[in-house]
Amino acid sequence: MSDEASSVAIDLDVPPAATPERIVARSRALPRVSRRVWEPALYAGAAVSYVTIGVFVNDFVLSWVVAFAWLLLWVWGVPTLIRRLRR
Amino acid sequence: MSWAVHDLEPYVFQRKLGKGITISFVAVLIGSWGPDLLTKWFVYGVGAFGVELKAADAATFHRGWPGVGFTHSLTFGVVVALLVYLVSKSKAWAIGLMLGIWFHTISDVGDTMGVMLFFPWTHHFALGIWAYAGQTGRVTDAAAYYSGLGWVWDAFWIFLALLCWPVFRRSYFEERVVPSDGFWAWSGRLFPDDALVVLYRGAVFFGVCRFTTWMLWAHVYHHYPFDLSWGGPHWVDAAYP
Repeated sequence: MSDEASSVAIDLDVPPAATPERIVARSRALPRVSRRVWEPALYAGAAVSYVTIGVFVNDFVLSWVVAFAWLLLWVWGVPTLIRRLRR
Repeated sequence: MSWAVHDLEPYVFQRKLGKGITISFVAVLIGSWGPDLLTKWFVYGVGAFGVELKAADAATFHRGWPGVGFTHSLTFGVVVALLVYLVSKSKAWAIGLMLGIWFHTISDVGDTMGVMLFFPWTHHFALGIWAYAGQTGRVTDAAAYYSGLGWVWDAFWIFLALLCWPVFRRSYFEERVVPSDGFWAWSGRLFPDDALVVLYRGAVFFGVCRFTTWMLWAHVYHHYPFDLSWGGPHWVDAAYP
């Protein structure tokens, strides 16, 4: 086989689908949602879930400590976790 | 007593007062919560390992004398401010705490028990708009407050807070709130900036959510009757001085 033919064969070769580099590149290529969209959505999610649980377990849930922790978990904790997983 | 009002007052007054003088938002918030943080656990009662701690006369303990009613007075705000200033030399914290305690005290004038505004003068100032039912325990107290004109008072403050919506913006927090209080620089060592903004918005989240939760709990999950008459609801035994 000539050198030219072997180089063509290499060009057409399909690389492995899930090399670590490709996984990272693909995750970075995911469409990034604007902060203006996801931030209010997270606040809304925190509020709806907090109110729903609070109606049934108001004795424990309806304290400022739990409220602050809940909000922090939703609006700061969740995006931070997602960002770390994407790395 | 008022409920969500105490979570929202600091934002509203900060918007109005923050232009002329430097005050700490955190101090106003602690001041606004302080009178009840110090006292309500004993008003409602706490129990652990078979031991129950509760004031025998909860209403008098909370608002009267003898008792800890002095925590709901303008005088208490001045004393706390002077002590904090002597210890810390921070005007922003001293004034903030005093204003927070004053806002709390003044908004509690609305119920039937009222407050001793000018303690040690023990006269109770009370408008009697909604029933004071702290002596009945937390659950009945909440049901009563959110069935009488108390919920209108809370809703009014949520409306006022929404009118002050720029105070919830990240830029407002960074440009106005952070520079006037060393607390945020100190907290910045523990939390990143994104988390600090969330914490700053925590009290409005708590206020709006607990208003919504108690309303749903009282009138959808349970069916406590509304009574929007002056001094109501009259299905609960209101306390008077």
